[in-house]
Amino acid sequence: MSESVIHIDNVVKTFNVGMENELEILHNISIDIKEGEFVSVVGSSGAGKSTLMNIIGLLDKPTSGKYTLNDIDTSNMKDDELSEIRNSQIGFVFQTFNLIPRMNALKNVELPMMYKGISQRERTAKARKLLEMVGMGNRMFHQPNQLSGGQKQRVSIARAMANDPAIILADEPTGALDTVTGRMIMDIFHQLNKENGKTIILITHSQELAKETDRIITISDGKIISDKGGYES
Amino acid sequence: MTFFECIKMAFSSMRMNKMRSFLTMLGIIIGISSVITISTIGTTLKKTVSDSVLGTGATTIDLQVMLKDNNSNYTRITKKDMITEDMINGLMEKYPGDYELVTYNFLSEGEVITENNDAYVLRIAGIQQGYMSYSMQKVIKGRNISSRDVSEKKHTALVSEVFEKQYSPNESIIGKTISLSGNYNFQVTVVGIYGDKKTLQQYELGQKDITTFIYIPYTLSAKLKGTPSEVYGYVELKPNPEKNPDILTKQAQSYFDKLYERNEHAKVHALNYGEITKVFLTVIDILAVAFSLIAAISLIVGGVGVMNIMLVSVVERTSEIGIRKALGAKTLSIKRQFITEAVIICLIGGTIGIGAGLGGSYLLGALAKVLLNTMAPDVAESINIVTTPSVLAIIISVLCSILIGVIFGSSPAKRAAKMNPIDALRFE
Repeated sequence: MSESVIHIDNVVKTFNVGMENELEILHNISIDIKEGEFVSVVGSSGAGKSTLMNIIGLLDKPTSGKYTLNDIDTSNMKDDELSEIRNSQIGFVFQTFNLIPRMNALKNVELPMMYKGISQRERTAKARKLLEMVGMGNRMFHQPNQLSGGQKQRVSIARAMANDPAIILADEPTGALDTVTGRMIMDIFHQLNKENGKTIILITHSQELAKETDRIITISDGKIISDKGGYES
Repeated sequence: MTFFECIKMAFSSMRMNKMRSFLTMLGIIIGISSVITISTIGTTLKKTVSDSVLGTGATTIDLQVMLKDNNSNYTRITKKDMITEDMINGLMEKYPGDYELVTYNFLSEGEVITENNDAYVLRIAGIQQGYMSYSMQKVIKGRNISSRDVSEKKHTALVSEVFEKQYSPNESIIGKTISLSGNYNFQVTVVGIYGDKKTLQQYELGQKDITTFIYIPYTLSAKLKGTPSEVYGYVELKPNPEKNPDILTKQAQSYFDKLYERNEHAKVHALNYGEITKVFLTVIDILAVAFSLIAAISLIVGGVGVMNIMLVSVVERTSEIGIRKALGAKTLSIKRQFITEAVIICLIGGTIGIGAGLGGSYLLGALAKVLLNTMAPDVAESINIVTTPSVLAIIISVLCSILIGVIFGSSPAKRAAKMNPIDALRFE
């Protein structure tokens, strides 16, 4: 059908390599994610899903195995090259929002564009548009500490969209929110997937949220124990 | 990330911790302000000295007869080695207008009977026309001893203001002929009066019997003494103030070198006060630089303070660094952000330090003026203290501030830039 965006082949992640407390977190994981898919990765805490997300997000390197993103092999890349790929190809949405304090919503959304070298004028215009899209048009000049959890998460979704990345990586995006605001955030993700055609990878421990997605990958003890289509119930 | 954004970011993080930023700056402020103050004291001292010694035209060329280095058999300068009047006249004829002879020969004391029949003692000195300006005395009435007075050995004289008041209180003494008696008995006609503030003050305070100088042509005093052809071991020349004294000194030196070429053991050494002053000024310079360097040690201490605070700041902002790296910040932009912050702290500190240093210098200058006026009022008038900030020191201070920021900010910045984004994100 559509092309594969993420191709993970036999990835192993071991912590404390060569030391007494050496620990293998991921064992020979292989995943293939196609463009436009809305995938959820579920598992209990300690199963290795955050480690997998860090590897997919190029925040961490696998100990062995191959990770190809948009047909580019990322195995031997230098730190700055990885920064560049994160900047333009991956949008992050974190559980704890990770907005930069003492920068207003607009500036936070501008940040990835600033690191890409886009001009001030262009990125302000784009950031305004994105904030309006997530329904934050009237709070652009608020500092993060003046915003509620749901509002912060909407700002961080706008930030994740800043450089039009191919994939959006959301790590427990509703984990710190109540059910109502969590629902709103999920609706935005659905909208981004359906209308903007973004590939979305949602990391969660909630089976309910996972069921809303096209495909559910379940991880347990660093292994994939099931990989099947969503919308079952 | 542009440079301007780095600066904006640095200011915003400084605003977060105002007190801490100020305390960090304090080290730099103290360091820079002491360097500026000390260097300003140096340049001011230098300018004051050169203005009061060189600026008043007190530059002279000294001619001194001395032994030639290469001959150890002769250890004594004899009368035939001395500079004669003919030699000096030869120099003046060869280079007309370049030199004036400064001569001062004390003859003796002489007694004068005033118009009121009071006996009055004067000190008699033979001078040449350049002497008055050389010794910073002014002819306030009448005229100076002229070159004609000197060459024709005329019986003319300069007397002091005080003497005029004592000799003939009601009318001018100029044109009157006065008789001196004592070791030498002769008559002179007064042609001019020189101002003498100090003795005038004493006179006004009620001190009546004040001995002042009467100046007569040196040729006349030589004639009275009975040594018509003078020889000198030491001669002072006043160079033409419009010409370079160094060149005139060299010119005189080569003139005398030629004359003493065949003299086996003696030579004439020409030296101008400008050279001595220059040596003195160099000493002031060296001292100012040395003390500035000592003050600069406090700058290093200030720099260490900056480094310390930057390290704390890096740890405090670990998760921010993680977010920035996750969003695509490269090593260089993180490094640049922290170095910019350190440089800005140092630059602001440096600017305040320059201001404080200059303020302190002007205050010290004013204080010096007050002290001089109260402690040495009679020289205060001729010494003009103008606080002169050293532009070079200011420029160096600014550059130094930037340099300290870069040096002491780079290690914390490197540390921040090297952080693994995942470790930084996890940090709480």
